[in-house]
Amino acid sequence: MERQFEKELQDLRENLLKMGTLVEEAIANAVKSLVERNSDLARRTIECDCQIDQLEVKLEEKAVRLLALRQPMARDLRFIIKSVKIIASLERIGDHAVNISERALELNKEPPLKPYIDIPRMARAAQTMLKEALDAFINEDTALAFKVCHNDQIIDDLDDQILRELLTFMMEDPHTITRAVRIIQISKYLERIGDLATNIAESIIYMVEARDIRHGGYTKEDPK
Amino acid sequence: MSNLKIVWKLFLTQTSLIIISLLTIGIYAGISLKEHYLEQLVPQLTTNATLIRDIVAKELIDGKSDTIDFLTKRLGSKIHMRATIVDSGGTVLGDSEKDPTKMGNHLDRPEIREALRGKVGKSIRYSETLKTEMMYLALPVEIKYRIIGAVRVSLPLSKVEKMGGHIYEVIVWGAIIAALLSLGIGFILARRMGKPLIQMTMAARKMARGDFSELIRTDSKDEIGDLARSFNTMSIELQNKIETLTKQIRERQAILSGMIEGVIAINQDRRVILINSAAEEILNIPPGRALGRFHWEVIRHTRLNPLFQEVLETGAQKMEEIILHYGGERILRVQTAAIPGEGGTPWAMVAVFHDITQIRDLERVRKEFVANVSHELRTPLTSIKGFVETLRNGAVSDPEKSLRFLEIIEKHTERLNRLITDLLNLSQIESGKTEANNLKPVNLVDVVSRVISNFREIADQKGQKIKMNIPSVLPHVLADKERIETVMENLLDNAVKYTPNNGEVTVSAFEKDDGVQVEVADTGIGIPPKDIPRIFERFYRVDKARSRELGGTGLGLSIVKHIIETHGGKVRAESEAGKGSRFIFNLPKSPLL
Repeated sequence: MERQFEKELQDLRENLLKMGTLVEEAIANAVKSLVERNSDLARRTIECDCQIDQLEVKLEEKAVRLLALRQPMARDLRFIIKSVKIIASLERIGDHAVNISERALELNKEPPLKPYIDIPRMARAAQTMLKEALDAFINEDTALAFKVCHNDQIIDDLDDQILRELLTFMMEDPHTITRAVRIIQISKYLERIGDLATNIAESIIYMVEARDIRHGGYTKEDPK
Repeated sequence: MSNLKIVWKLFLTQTSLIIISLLTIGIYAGISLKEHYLEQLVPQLTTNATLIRDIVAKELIDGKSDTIDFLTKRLGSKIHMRATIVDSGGTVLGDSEKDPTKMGNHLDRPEIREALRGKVGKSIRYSETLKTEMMYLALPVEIKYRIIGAVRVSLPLSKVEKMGGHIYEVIVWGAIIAALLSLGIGFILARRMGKPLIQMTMAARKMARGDFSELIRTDSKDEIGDLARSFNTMSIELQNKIETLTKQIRERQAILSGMIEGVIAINQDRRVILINSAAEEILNIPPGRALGRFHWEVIRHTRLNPLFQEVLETGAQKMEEIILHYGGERILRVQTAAIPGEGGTPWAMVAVFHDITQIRDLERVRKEFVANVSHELRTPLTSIKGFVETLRNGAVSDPEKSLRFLEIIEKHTERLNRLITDLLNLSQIESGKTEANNLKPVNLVDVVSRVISNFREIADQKGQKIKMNIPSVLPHVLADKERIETVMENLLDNAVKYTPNNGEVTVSAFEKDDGVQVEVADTGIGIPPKDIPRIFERFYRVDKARSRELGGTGLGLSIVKHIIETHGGKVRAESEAGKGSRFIFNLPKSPLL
């Protein structure tokens, strides 16, 4: 009985990681489709999102079943509750990958405004955050989770920088406005991905340490 | 001390055996000795009784009780036995040790009663009179078949008792001595047996910890000696086996860690049981993190994990190409094989990763090269063919037109010529024609100033300055002079071409630890960062239209790279778009002559 429960938890973990991997790939492909102006890849990325959505539904159902049938306690309970939150966050990240792909499709129809420099940099930062959040999840590594929370600042700064840069483009030449706005949107999507990765990291800290650090709940001892 | 147990065991068994046997023998000996003694007493008593009877018989008939008592006392003291005479009524008539008048009627004594019935009476009992255990023997005194009395002789048994006590004493002492002896022997035996046993125990404990150095020294020929010798043989054999195994494991590890291909093995529980460092690097896993964990925990890939699972379930052999997204895109070829287990399902699986990113890149470059060569050759040829046709179709009669057309044809022919020369040069360099005997010490200052002087005219036309920034004392480099001239020509040609009017080109050189470094910098249009890694590829052009317009073949930098590399040097480019580019190469110093 106990072993069976252990197996079911393991299964939930595995599928959650599978979902995470799908999401990681979706971001990578979305950004690639934008930078390399590959509309085919953008379309494929949009199609792939239904896999992520299906996994979300399936995993949530699994988590609810576990809660109802096993009535877990302490760590297991925190794990299942926070898994549900992480699943939701991953699904939202997947949606943002779709959004980026959609903007890429639109942008690819028009001549390039300027070479993408900060957007790939931001995408890399967001991907790293998500990767580290998932690594922290597998290894129950709260130090890494804290690092993810702090790295969010990098993405926020890049977002500001992109906004300022594109404002100058728009002010100089109104013809660039449609394209610039789309790029700004992409920048916002990436910024949101960073936030969601932070949420995942916070969930992991709660899962492992049973301590809520959301909304400024840090203590002095937490790694900076 | 664990050997004490053996001493005690030996001692206790030995001693108890000895004591039991001594006791049995002692008791039996005591009893039979006593019986034997008593049996010997009977004839002695009978003889004495018969003698006394014959002497006192006459007196008894006469009934002279005084004489009887006197005779009895005398005879008794002579034979050292007690003698008693009674008449047929049981009344004591004479006794060797007491006054018969004070003794009671003896008819109740069993031996007397027997004797008075005409038989030999025998009895062993406690004498109330003498207060000791006595043996009695009585004989009837018969006269003419009439019993007129009885003669009794008796002897105290204290002698017999004493003898028995002595025997028991001997037995007890014997037992004590035997016990002490057996303790000593047991101790010695235990030492002799126990010592090798203790040694073996110690050695076995050491063996368990992996120390095989201890052998048991023994010269005894018994079973314990055999055991010790077998133990030594076993220890040596085991050591050899373990050494062989360790060596095999080390060999396997050396092979695995020396492999460029990544290797990972996963068992039926889906845990990683083996991974080499190449696999850790390729899959971006921190060293040592993966071992013993689930493969889906350490590898996150949407294709790899289902592939592993499929192989573990079906045992199928698979080969696939997958793309990794982390740290730059990489293409991997994955080969899997199942390790067969009992029954149908595999026991584990092995996957081998080849990083084929470079192979794919090379394939792409080669494909592009063929396409480019064809394109580059066809473009001037098409023009030449077109203008030749126009000339033949009548334009040849128009001197003004025909001259212009011929000039164009000449220009394209020259271009073709240049292209083919470059290609030949390149293939020559690539096939390694620059051999060691062509390498001579070259003074770079000479080469650079000569090449610069060739470009002065063109530069002056564009109002460009060519600066030379070379120290007067520069070590010679070991190089093929003509080839280095080609390198400088190509680099300066590019610099002058891509620098706008009134720009500046600087050639500088300086000594470095490992050779001489030469830099050609310009203030031209620069190269976009994404193109920098590819500009040394054949026919790669940053701006195809402009390059061709300026008369480039697309092979210049490729030639530069190959020449420098055949000299054992390195070339690279730095650039900032809009501000200029800088090409840097280094050449090895010539050894001092």
